[in-house]
Amino acid sequence: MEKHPNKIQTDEDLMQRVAKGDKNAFTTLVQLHQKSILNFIWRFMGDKTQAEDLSQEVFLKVWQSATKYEKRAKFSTWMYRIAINLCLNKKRALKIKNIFLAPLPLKKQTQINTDCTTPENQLLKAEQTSQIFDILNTLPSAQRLAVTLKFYQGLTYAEISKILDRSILAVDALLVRAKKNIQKKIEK
Amino acid sequence: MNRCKDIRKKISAFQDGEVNQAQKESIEIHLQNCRECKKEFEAMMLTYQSIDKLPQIEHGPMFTQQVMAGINKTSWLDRFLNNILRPLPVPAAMTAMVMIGLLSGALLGNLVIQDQLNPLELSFPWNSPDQEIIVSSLSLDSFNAVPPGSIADGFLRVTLGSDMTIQNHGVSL
Ligand SMILES: [Zn+2]
Repeated sequence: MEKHPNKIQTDEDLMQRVAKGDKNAFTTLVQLHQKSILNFIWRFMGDKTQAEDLSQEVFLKVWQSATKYEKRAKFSTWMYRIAINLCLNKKRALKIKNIFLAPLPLKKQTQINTDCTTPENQLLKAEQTSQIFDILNTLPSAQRLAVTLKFYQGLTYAEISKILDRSILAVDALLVRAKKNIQKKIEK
Repeated sequence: MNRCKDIRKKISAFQDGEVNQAQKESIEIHLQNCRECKKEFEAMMLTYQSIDKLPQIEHGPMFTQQVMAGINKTSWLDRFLNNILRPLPVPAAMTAMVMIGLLSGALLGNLVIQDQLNPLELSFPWNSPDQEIIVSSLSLDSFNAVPPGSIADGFLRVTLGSDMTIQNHGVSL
């Protein structure tokens, strides 16, 4: 039976079409999720260029692995898992690179498009952003993921537990430890 | 005191809106009456406040086109290999690749040697001296580094294209 053309398609419906090679459905998925995935990766990695490259890789992976996607799983959960795997691989590669090469000085300021037009405001924003990344950088990967998914992406513990493949109690414990670490950092 | 301990265990989940209604109400009442727990909760609130105010960034206007260009570059073969081989654990995938390699090599080898074997098959049973010569030349060939009909021979024939090159390789190897 043919679907009503006006019916809003869910991510999961779109993915079924993507699995059959439908590029229009894929374009729609990219447009729906690109901003969210870019910001998620930026918050986890702390680097805008890496976030842009990695988010492109996420969508390529979604396309390549579309036939493996099972409709039972929520699309966003599956996509976050792809993103996290790519980010962790990238982090590992950077770590190895840093063992052999002297680490480059961290870029203190990230170019951000903001609504504030005055240079003073932009500077203030950049300074604030840099301070927040200083705090996030103190967290181990798992804690930082939990904080990013909870606080910035607004997911529930149940959703995070599926993405990270841990129990809800473990997610709670991760967040408690992350908050303690943030407290220590801001008290300094 | 014990009550405070229970509250502290739940305070992070409470902040994240992850407790049920009854727990929420009892924690709220406790926080109104317990200065220590309230202090703890306020300190926890500061953690999220300290990482708030991170702006949203945007992709360049060409992002979707770039992704689409990327997927157009990934051929059906990539998709096939990805879907067939990737679900397997790495050792299994490697074994599968090696098996495919060996089988295709063996197949090629058989196809290549067919030309030399056909005269023997046609005049079966072997009763003429000519056939003995062919057989012995085949067995002498097996002393080559790349004997005719071997996997390596098949591979070289396909990749290098001509018998001449194969002969040269056979010697030089
Ligand atoms: Zn108390």
